[in-house]
Amino acid sequence: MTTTTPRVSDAYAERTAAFRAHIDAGGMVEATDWMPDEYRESALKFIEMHANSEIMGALPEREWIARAPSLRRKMSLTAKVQDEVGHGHMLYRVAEDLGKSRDAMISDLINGKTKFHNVFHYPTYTWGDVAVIGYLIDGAALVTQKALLESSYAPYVRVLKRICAEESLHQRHGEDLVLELCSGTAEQRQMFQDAVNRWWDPIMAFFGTPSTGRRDVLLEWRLKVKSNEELRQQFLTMFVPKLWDLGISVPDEALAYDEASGQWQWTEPDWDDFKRVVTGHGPMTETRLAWRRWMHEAHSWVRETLHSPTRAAA
Amino acid sequence: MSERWEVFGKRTLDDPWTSVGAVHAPDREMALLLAKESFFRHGEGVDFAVVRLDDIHTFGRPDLLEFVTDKSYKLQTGYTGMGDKRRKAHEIARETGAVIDRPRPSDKRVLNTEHRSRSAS
Repeated sequence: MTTTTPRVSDAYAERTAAFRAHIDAGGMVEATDWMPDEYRESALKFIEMHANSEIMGALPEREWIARAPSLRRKMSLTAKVQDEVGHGHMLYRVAEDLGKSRDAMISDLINGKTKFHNVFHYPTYTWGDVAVIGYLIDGAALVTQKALLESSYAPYVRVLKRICAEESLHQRHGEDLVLELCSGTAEQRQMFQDAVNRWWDPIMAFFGTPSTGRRDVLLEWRLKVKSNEELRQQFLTMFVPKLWDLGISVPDEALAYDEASGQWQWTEPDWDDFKRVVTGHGPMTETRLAWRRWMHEAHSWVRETLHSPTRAAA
Repeated sequence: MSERWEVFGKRTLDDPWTSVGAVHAPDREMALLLAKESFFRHGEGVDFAVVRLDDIHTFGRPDLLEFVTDKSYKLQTGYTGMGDKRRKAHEIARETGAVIDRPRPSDKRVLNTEHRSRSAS
């Protein structure tokens, strides 16, 4: 990654101040607009990680296409995986305009130089995991992505509108899986409960640490508008009562809604473990990246064909 | 010779291009002028563009856009009756005494996904 060289020129400071005022007044930024280096770099890093996560996030579900319990489930899961990969490519297009080529982004991803979300570094064991991913992890993603519709970077917002529409369909798909398991046999209910137990900590970690007091560049430039904790609280409000109504418990003894403060109390996961996982040391990181590298290699002929000069038909 | 140009406008700079109509013009300059005079005289937007119709490549195969087999899982309408399914699952949990009845926020409408999907279907 490039680093910001401190600039002392008055003109730069002046332009940055004007840009800051524009952002603070609720203004939007286009790819062709002038922007401070810090804005460009933060936006690029953030959107690149989002794109990486869409691509890598398709893999845990992809593992279940061949094992889906019915033809309809197989086809709906395939359609969803296709949507996620599509989101990744739309986001790479947006990131590309900020100054890093798509080739470089893909190469950095498959060589483990850039990050993707923690939740996609874990293994899946049963169809219950697919239900958790479709319902709770997509739910967590939808909560964060809806908040990003207020972002200051206009090209990102335009793409997010379409992504959110598709994600809300995925949400239905996920809930349908959950309700099917919860209306099924005791074994099916247990399968879902076990999966919730496995994924709860990673999902809490997905939202990131509560405010650390450190400067949050993304919030400052209004690339993000809501804090980690606001989003996590919104997620808990949205999903915990629904799980309880289905007789599914959440594996956090301390989890409780405090009516006085209107806030959920919850237990923080092991943040060191989170940091290890998200920096590429999760249980499935190497396997999934290796698979992605292999596919990249195996499909190189497609890229070569598309990039080669057109030959006249004989 | 006059050609047909499709015209696209933006209501605000943040909006995507939206088709607003078409003009016939011999060249780009004339097409832009006619588009401005035809579609943007009353504050309809902040920018517009013209594209030669020949440069727009239509797919032209409606039959290939229809689903040959049932693909309702790609549509919001493929997931109707979720409320009934939710009630049924809740009922099953209630019968076995599994429901967890603890304090919870009274306002569940934090995100309007329910509302959104209803209006989309």
